[in-house]
Amino acid sequence: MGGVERSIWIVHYDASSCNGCDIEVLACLTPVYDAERFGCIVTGDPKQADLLLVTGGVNNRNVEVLKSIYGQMPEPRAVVAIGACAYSGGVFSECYNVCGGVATAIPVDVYVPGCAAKPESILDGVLRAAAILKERRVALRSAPRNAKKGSTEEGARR
Amino acid sequence: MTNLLLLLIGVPTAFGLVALLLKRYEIRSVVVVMAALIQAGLAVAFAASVGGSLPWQSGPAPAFLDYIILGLELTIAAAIAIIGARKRRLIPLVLALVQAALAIAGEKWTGGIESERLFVADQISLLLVVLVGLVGGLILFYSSGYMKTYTEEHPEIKDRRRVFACVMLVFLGAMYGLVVANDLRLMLLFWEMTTLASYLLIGYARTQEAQKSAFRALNLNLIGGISFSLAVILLAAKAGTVELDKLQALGKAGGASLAMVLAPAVFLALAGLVKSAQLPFTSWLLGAMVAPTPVSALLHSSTMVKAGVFLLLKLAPVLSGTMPGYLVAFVGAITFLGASFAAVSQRNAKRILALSTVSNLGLIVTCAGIGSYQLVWVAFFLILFHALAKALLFLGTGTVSVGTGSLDVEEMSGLVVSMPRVTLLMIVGISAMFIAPFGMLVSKWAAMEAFINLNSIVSPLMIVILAYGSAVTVLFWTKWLGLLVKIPDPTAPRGLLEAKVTKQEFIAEATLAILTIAACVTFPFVSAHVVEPYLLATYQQAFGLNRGNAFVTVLMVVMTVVVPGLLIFLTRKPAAFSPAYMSGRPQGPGLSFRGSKATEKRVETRNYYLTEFFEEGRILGAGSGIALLLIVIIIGTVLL
Amino acid sequence: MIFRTENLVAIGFVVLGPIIGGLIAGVDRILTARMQGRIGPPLLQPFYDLSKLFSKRIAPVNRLQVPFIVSHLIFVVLTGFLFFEGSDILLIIFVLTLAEVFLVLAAYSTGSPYAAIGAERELLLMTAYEPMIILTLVGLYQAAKSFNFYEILASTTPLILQLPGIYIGLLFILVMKLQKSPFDLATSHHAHQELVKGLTADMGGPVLGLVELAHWYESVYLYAIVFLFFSSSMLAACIGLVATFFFVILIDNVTARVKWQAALASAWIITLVAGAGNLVPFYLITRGH
Repeated sequence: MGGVERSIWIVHYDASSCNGCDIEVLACLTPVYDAERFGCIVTGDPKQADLLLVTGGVNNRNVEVLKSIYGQMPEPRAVVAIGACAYSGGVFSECYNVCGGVATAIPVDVYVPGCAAKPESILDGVLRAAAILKERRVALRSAPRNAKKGSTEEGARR
Repeated sequence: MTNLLLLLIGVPTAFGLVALLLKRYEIRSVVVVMAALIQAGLAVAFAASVGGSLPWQSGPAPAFLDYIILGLELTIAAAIAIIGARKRRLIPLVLALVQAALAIAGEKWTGGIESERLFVADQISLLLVVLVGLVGGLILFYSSGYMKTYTEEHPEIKDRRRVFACVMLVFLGAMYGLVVANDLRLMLLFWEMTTLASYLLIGYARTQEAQKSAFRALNLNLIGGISFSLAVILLAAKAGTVELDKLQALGKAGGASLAMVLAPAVFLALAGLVKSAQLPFTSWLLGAMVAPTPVSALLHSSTMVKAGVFLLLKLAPVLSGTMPGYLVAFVGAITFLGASFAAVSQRNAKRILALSTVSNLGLIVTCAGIGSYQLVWVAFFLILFHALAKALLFLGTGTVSVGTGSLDVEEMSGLVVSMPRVTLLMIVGISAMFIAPFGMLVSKWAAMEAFINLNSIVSPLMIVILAYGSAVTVLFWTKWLGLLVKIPDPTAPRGLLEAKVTKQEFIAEATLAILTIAACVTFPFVSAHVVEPYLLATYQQAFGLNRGNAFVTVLMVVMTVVVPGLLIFLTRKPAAFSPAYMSGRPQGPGLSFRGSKATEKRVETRNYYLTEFFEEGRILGAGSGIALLLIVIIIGTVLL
Repeated sequence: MIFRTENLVAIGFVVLGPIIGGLIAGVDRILTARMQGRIGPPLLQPFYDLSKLFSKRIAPVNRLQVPFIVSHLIFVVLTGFLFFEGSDILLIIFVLTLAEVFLVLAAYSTGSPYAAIGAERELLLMTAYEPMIILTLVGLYQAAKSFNFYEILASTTPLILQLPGIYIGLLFILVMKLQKSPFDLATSHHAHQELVKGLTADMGGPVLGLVELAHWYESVYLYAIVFLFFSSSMLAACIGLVATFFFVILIDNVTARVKWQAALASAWIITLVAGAGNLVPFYLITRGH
């Protein structure tokens, strides 16, 4: 059974978003968009998540939190950066405390454009990430088992 | 056989006196260990030699014996009176004088009576003999290691270990006498001996709190003793006998003869309620935890409180089906419920253990008070399993508290890392108290089925009480178990606190753990060969587990021990551990995270104690009120 | 050894239990979605989830967590096996308590703050529902004079008519047992941020998969107990089961989470009023002499 791309559990982190994109993320769960159609569930626990949705740019305070959450997610995992800020820091990029996009802290797999991003494109991004998750799972299967154990340290290092 | 029995009673007493004379600790501890072994051997030998044809009966008492008993009785009363006078306590002084007066005045009725059988040992007596021998012996053995550490750790307490060893041994001797005596005058003598001994042991530390608790135990048990004396006099006056087996026979005969012995039986039952620390008399046992651990272990497991339920169980054939019997059962049921509720709000390990003892005794009293053959079966096994598991838990708690320096269960958090070996034994003990396949729970389940089959008006009420009580039992034990298995830092070195554990302590605890598991595995055998014959002889009806259920329980015991053990053994040590989730904060070693301004914050979790629901004072207060009312009604029904 | 039908059913439970339990969970999710005006996931979604969970790689939090969870699953399955094998269901339900204790200990062992709160709350819920479970089984016994699943099943009178109060009490605690709102205080399938995942907060990947699997097994025999109340006619049984199932999901969707005080107090009061209030008179009427 190919569960990975049909069961996408999401942990959503608001780095330093203006909340515009967050509202759109939540809109994805409403009856109009119903992300659960695709097996998406928002979970609060990175240890149970497959996908990290980040909104907003990374600042000096939350960079370590973002790394830590990413580090606690079990393999295979993927990251979706939502909106302009998550790409580059957006309108906040010049702020004294902003480091830039999500990629300055952790590797990003899918960028969803928009300010704020539309629910349709967020869903599209999630499904693209699901395809990446599937590839990773295949790669992980062929990799030796104990080589990937310390996912925490690895995540924190990047 | 009588000689062996006299040896059984005499040897611990004699060793006790020898221990009193030995000044050097090393020699004394060798003597105490020897005494522990010898008396355990004697107990088993006695049980084995008379076990073939029960009940075993001795010959009549020698003619002069009742004068000796009277003399000793008055000596004890005088000793208590002197203690009361010297410590300026009026109540024990008065109670001791009342007891002495009753003993002398009672001569008018009891004086001329010669008992036909001085000693009678049935299966219940032998169960107690074996438990006192094995558990008591192990506790003595443990105390030889523990009291050394205790004395070193408490320099402010005067070293009176000689008296301690002496009283412990005499206590065991008195217990043997108590459970085989058939002549109630003799039983009363041993009964009062245990009262005095427990006073001396509880007050060992001589602090103000210890004194207070010791006197509370003394006062309440003296009241029980007076009730016992009244019962003996009433029995002699009404039925012209002082023998327990005759009392049982008259009670079972029903009709007019039952009416004749009901009042004495009720007063004996009241004495039993006090000794087994039922509400409203619970406070003496709760206070007794100020004593050194071996004392608590001894009082709670095989001696003292078990003497109370032992007597009630002996009276079960008399009380069964009578109004006072049902009322006694309700006192037990309220105690069971109240004590298990109160245990939820406790943080002190010894207090949790004490309340759990009271609660289990309550259940045994309920079984004995209703006294159907199925419930007597249950009571028998509750006594057996409780004695083993509770002794193990008290000894374990004592060892742990020396290591952690506290009796607070919260301080036992993470014990599986710091004291892995002792914790394993504690887990066995706690599991035995409430987890499915082990004895206590099987007994509770059997009690439930027995109540259902009773077809009495009280059945549904008892079932409801048992349902609530056992739910709460799961709560307070699992909370504790959870603390023990908490691992704050999986990479921390193990066994750091185990250095202080003496060999004697560990051996005693390990033996008890093995005995506990062995009892759980072999109990269908014990049921078939020990308990069922007793039930057949006493009730002409036998009850045992049916084969399927016995198989299921034994299978479960084996699985519960083997499955987690094997799994823990088989899982390889992982290459890395993932830290616990802390809302994404970067984490340090163990349970800590980096807070603002780069400060290291430790995470500490504490258990729920639910004081707004299970406040001890309120629950036990209300329970005591109801129980007291019931006792007044009980006395009223027999006197009117 | 004689092979009885009971043994076949018991083995069938071990093999097919996850399939039935998974389908129950699938229907549950679709129904929930429809009640909220959504389409919801496909019927097989729980199986996709489980297969995904087992494909994840995660380091354990400590050495005890995994053995405890595996023990939890083993004892849940064993409970069901013995249940359908015709053992004494009162004894069996105590074995289920043991299984639950393993789950709680697994959460405790992590030392994590969220798991600790979850463990405490799960224990509270156990305390809350346990009396009612016992009264349910005693009530069934009193009606059918047996603790054997098949003998109760064979009873000709509809038990629901004799034990309406007990059925109401059971329905109440079924919501707790199935971790549904308003009693999903220990853990839940929704993202409750203040609790994270509570009891299962520090479980991920295969470990969580085992917990989920155990939950499916458990739901099968919980509904089997509900089935017993209607077992006199097949039609009534189907309607009763579907209605119960629907009711639990409806309650899940229309209520907000309560505090532990309310959970404990309400469960105990319902147990006393509906459960004991039904059992005590029923026992007195039907007791033999």
